[in-house]
Amino acid sequence: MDNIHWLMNGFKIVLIPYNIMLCFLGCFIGTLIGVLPGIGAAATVAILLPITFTLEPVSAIIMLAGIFYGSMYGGSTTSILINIPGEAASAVTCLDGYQMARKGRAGPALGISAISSFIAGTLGVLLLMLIAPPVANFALRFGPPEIFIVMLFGLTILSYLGSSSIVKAFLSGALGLFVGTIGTDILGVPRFTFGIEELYDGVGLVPVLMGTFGVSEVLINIEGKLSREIFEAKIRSLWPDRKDWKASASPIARGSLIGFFLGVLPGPACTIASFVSYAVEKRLSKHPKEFGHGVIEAVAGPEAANNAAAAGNFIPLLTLGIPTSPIMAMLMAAMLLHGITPGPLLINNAPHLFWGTIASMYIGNAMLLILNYPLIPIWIRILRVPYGMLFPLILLFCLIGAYSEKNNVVDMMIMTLFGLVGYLMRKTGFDLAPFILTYILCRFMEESFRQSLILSSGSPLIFLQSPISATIVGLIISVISFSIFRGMKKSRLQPVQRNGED
Amino acid sequence: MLRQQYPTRVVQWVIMACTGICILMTGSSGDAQMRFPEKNINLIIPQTAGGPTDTLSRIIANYAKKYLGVPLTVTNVPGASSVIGARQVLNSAPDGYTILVNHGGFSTCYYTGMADFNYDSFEPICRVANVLEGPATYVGAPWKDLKGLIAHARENPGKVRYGATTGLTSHFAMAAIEKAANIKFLFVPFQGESPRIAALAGRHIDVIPIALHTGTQYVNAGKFVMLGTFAEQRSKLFPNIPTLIEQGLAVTDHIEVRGFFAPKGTPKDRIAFLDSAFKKTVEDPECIEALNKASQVPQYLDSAKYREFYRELDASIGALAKQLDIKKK
Repeated sequence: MDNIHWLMNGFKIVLIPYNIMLCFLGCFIGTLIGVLPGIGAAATVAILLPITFTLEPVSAIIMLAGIFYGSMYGGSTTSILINIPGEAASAVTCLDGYQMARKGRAGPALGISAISSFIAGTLGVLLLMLIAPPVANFALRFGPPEIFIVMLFGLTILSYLGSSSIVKAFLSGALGLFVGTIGTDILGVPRFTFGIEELYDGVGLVPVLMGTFGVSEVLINIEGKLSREIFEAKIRSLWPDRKDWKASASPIARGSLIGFFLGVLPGPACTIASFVSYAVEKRLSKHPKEFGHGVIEAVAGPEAANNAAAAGNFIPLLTLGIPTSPIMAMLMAAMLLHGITPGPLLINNAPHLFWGTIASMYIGNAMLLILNYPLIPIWIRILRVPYGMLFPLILLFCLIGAYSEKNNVVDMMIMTLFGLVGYLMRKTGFDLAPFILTYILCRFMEESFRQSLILSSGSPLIFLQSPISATIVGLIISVISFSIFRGMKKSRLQPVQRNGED
Repeated sequence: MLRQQYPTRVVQWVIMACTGICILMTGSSGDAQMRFPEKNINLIIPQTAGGPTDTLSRIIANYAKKYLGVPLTVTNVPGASSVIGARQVLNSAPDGYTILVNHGGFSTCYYTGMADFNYDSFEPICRVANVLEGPATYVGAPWKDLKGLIAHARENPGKVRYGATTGLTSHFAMAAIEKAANIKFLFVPFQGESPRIAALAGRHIDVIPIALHTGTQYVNAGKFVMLGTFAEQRSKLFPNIPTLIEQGLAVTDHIEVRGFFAPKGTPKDRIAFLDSAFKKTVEDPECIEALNKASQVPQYLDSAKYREFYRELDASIGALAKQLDIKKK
């Protein structure tokens, strides 16, 4: 097969010591960045971009790509250990990963996270290699109406993210939508900015995420005692056991597929993919009530999803020259700086770049597994550090991360403010996950919604016109009506099952 | 009491020593006769990494070191359509160590009410380079070329859909076409170039302004048709793409050309030094080649001529702004 021949060429390009070293460097830096809360892959790639100037194009892309998917590996470490996501895409891992750590199962959580990231990452690259062009062309058919409908479908996930009251989950989501409207809308009208220029582009994902998850977590913890003996006493095992493997197998497979295909769509693909995977696993699970209290499927699925989405994210850039996220935009800039024009003919014009990148992703995923898996006992040691020493470091990294995105002090202030918001939300029993999900979705939903209405001169029928959007609308309606139907059936049976069940 | 006296004396000596060192240090930094430049010059890019302004700045920074004598470091300060970065330079010390790269963005932001300052709050250093751009449409559209598109738009006012970023240079560029041809398109806002490329490729809109090197790739892949270029003359890099002027539209690309600016009050000799250093940079053949590969062409103008150029540009943008639906807030 022609592709195999090209892939072998790609491996030949990557498997020279120089490129292997750069691949390792990228993966290592990416993991580190993923682990450190606050500092994100996008900011890192921006900072390292000038350094890649002196490198060969393929080498530069290999390293920068490594930083990206490496961060997807590292992001879950802090989610599991200290309930603070290292990356937006790892926010979902906090839900169950941290609960597993509290039960003394941090080791298995970290292990499954690494393994599922590896399997999904490798699967993602395989799919990228095989079906990238047709998938990319299919993705082009997603115009504003289709994108809106997909986001709307993402909104239905809200109901799965609540661990307690569903009303509170919706309220939390509503707050997220509100915060998402801060900033200028697509016609340039500023909203809720109070004349503050820095708010013109919205409050920013990193400050909001790090504030609501990170700062609030620190505040909650230092409110009580600073000791964390519960972890020490209960570290039962370092590695996942057979039950874990068995339970994780299907979530990994499902998460990989979900992640890969969602990764092709524009927007914060990796984050949305992890949320969707969480909801799917909860929906398909035989014990959904345990979700949110430390279930391994809820770690395996989303972790697989965000790594597969990272691979899928490359597709529009490599096959069409269209970057669909800030990191891809920077990779495109790196290519331009090296004289390579990304576009639909990249595979033909610069096959060494395309196949070299793909080959490096195989190798990178393997390197990341080798990097991350043995480090698990070392990461667990972090749990033994007295919290009094740990939390100033956490806050420091969060502050640096908030600043590093746009070199703007206001982001640090926003983060602190949302730290307070997150703290209040936690104290009053509101889940944070719905808030983050709707915050992320808001901008894309509103943008695509208004674009659709502009295109249709105000007619909402545009959302039913194409087969893609009509199908997804049908899906949404069936999901909602099925849930209502189930709820009605349950309430009819409730008088009989009053004693403790449900 | 005794115990406290000993440390107090030591502390006093330490404080005096530190103060002495500080005085010595401050004494040397206010020297106006200091050679310029002595340390890094910081170029503020008011956009996110990855766009044409960012690419241009990094290429220039790479080659300018030779002529400046010191490194030119770049910092991205994105936000509010370039206003935040511009304001940072506006407020920084006029000592020549902080400069800004910008295009017609000063005027577009001023007339759309996003900024309360305009180009005249800065000292132009020099004009540097421009991106080659032009309108593109998808293959299989009801029109084959620019003439066909305009004729169709005349018959169907408000139906031909174009994508651009609200209030930014792409928006103004398409509005300039509307004004010159006396037609009305339907404006569909998109954030940035890539989303509108995807939308055009999926045929969800009809026309977009796009960089020529990107557009040509799509032409070669059989997806797009380049309707023309905003440049005043045909480019040697793309000799087959006619200019809009050739096709009868009085539209230019002045709004996109980028230049460097310094805060008002920067000493004239430092501006002159930077001007000549950048002039040599954009005349450097290696730099030119790197720029061309990123589909940018050097378009140098010195400080005085650039100021004149910008004054005319500002007037035309002001006139266009009235035509757009964005009101000054």
